[in-house]
Amino acid sequence: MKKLDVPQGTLDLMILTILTREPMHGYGISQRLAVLSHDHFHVNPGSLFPSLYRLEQDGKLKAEWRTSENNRRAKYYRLTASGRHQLEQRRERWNRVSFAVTSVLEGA
Amino acid sequence: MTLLHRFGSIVRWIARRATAEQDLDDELQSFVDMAAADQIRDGATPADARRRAVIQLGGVEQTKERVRTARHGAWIDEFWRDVLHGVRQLRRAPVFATTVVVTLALGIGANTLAFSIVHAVLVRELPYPNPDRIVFVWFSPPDQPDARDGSTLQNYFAVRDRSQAFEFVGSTSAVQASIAVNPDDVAGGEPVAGPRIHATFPPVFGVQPVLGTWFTDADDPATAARKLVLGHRLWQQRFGGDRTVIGRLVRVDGQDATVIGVMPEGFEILNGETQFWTPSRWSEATMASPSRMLVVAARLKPGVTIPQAQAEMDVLAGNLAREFPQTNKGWSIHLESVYDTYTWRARTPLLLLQGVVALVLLIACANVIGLLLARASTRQQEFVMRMALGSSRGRLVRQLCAESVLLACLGCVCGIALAFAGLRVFMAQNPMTWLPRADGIALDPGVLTFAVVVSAASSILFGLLPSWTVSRRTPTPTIKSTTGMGGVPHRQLRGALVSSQVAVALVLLIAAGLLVNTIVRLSLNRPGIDPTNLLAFQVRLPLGEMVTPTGRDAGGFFTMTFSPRVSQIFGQIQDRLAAVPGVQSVAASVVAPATPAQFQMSVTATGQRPEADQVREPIGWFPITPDYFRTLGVAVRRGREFTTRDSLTSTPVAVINETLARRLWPGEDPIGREIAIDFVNDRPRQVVGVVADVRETSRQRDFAPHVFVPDAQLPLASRGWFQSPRLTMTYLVRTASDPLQLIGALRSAVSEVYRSQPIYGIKLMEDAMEEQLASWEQYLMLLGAFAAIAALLTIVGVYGLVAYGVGQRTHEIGLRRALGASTAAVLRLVLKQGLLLIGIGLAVGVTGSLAVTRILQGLLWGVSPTDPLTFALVTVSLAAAALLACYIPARRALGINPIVALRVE
Repeated sequence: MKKLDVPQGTLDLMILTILTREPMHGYGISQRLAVLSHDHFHVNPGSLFPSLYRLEQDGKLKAEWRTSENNRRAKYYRLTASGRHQLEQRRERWNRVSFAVTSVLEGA
Repeated sequence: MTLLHRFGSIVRWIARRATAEQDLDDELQSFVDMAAADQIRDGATPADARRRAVIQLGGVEQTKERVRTARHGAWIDEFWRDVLHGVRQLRRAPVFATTVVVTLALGIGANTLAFSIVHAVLVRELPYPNPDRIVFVWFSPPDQPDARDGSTLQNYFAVRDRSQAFEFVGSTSAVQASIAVNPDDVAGGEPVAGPRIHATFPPVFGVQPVLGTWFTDADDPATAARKLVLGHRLWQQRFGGDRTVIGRLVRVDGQDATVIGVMPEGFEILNGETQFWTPSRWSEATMASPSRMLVVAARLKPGVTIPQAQAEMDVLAGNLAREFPQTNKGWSIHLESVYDTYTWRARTPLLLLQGVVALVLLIACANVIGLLLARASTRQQEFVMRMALGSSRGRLVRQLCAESVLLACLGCVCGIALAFAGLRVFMAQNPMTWLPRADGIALDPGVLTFAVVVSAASSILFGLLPSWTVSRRTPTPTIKSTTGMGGVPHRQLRGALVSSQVAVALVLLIAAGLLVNTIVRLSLNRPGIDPTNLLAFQVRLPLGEMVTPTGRDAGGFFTMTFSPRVSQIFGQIQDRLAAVPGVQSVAASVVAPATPAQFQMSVTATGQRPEADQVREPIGWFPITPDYFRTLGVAVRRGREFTTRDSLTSTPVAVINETLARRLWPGEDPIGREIAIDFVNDRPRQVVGVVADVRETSRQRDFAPHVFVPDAQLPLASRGWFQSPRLTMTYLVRTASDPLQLIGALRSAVSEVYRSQPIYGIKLMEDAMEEQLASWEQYLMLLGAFAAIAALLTIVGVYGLVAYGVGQRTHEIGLRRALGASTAAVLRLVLKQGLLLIGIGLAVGVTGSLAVTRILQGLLWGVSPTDPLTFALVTVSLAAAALLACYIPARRALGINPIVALRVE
């Protein structure tokens, strides 16, 4: 099946959501995204890492180097309070957008 | 996120940049490792797994680049990296970098230097409150409505008393006096210049004394004449800046006078020479004098505009012409703002200068564009590589711009240094003598801002073009081959550069050529005296001893009697000087020769009925001693010159020049005729000689009428305030060899006659006449230097562009040679293109010059703005130089070994 492009502006939302459960490294996030989207989304690292860096720079994420479960060193991203706040805002907005779009499509 | 927060994160990020870069490397590495581990777990071989992981990452460098550009403040980082990269690039190409920086420094330096002059003279605020309300009131003779002539007394009082437009009206006229700080010092020091001034003159300018007071209208004429206001410079130099100077008694021309005030620094009127002021008083008796020696200035009432005041003056001029037709018929009045009066003379030359340096900068930029283009081509591989590695096109353009900015910064710094050095040389030539307000020329913040703006503008100009051509490249075809460079758009751009540089340089050189032509003609246009081994110096007799005041005449005017000793002493000095060994001949005059006439009288031929409405033209009047014409080398055409026998007791005589003779008695012999000069108490004089015409200045095209009288025949009883110059005599000494060797002997000869009377103002006539040209020469040198820089840059630029073109075609030329092309054919191939471009440039340049040189009209003398000889000579010279610049690369093309050329591929 052909992979879908991540819709504009939703990558940040998905990254923040994935990180609510536990801190995770970049590779883990991309794998998790593929699994949770039932393999519809495959995020290119060339898109993922710029997003991660920007979120970190904005203080939504905090990064630290840790040893992974497989004994590798990896950079783990953790949601900050500000990131959690932004996630709630973004999710709320997304819910409204998707509800609106779905309503239009089904009501037509 | 708040702005502050964002700013903080940018700062933090920049501070941690080095570690962040390492961090990114590590993270991507860890990503690849984890991806590879998963692949292995799924059954791939380790090598295969690694390959797939890297593919999944989608290129390490590209990802890094995207992360970098995604960050906040990325542009700062990028710019910084671009600058560092640029520095590395420039250090790798020192010849290129030096050439560009020197070229820019010349352009920017020339502009900064020129602007520092323009700024000080034309832009700077005048140091007066509300300068837009100050006007000068000029009188213009018939048919010359823009001429600036002075006012007669009658006219001054008419303007002052009858106009409604002005708050204050004041007038000034130049005098010289010797001021002795110590009242016991009878001789006094060297005379200094200072105007007699009407009491309301400073209020016109809104300037108050820094110490003491100014004259008041209420000052009684009898005592006011003994009051003195010092200029700031005189106060500093002769009175040591003494603040207790007010009330001090000094001697002015041998008479006691009280210092009542000191004017502030920078209060200059018309020139910076003014050193003191004494009040002027006039009476009805001198009202009818046709002499226009007053300069009148006025302050407009608030709310009155110059056109409104001008309308009033037009009416007044009409009234004056009816009331005083002898002096005013056909004359008009024109008002000029103080700014225009101060700057009109300098405006055209300075704007021209600024225009010329702007063109020099354009040529410099064109050169830099050429250099950058050539370099961009050689760096094509680098750009292609970087694009392949993920740099966007915009990124490359930004990088090129950063390099341009870097070059411009270096050029700016070096340019300012050059301007600083140039300014020191310029100021050392004492430009104050010919340039108003030149004392304020400096590299002040305004000028430096200008330099930075000019640099920024030029960096945009020469930075964008090459970037644009680079950005049009697509990576694929270029990466495959290296010979595809210098394609059609490149060649067109190069061609346009060559042609436009040649055109601009030609315009500049033709302008410079016309000005050089002018200076040559001016220096050949000698006044008509022989200045070789001719020394001039002045001797001044003290007024107090030589003049006895005799009260006032019916008109309330000061009267006086000159001692007969005046002409006796002057005569004895002349005899003593003539006896000094080595002296060939000596004469003296109240007015130095070959300078503008200081005194003008109206002269009428007796027997000719003076028409009531005839305009009395003032005529240059020169009291001289015997041997004057022989000493100066001026031919006596008819009759004789004065001798010692022409005295107060003999028949009054006069000598006139040829122009006056033609004016008074056209086609007739003037010898033996009688003339009347309106000098106080003068008697009708018999014309005994006619002499050759002498120019007053070297810029004077036509000759002015002159009348000469024996100094010994000036009436002793006199009146008026313009008599004291009779006590200053300019001696002219013609010697067999260098006159400067004789100064000691001449000095003691003078003191033998009259105590320790100092001689001053010692000058070689040769130098004095050079001085008149010096200001012109200084300006033209400056202009010529800039034109020469432009020409040099152009030649270098044309050479560079043609040589580069030949370099690009090495392969093609080698191929042609290998296929049997003759030497001539190859030469023709290379030269043809260059010749065409130069030809176009020359054609455009000549056309442009024909249109543009008209601006020069006012600066030229004896040369038409479209002088064919100048045009031809300059065009041919530039063409020859440009051809040479093409020929050298062409010769080199001939030397190309076909084998080597074909291997370039």
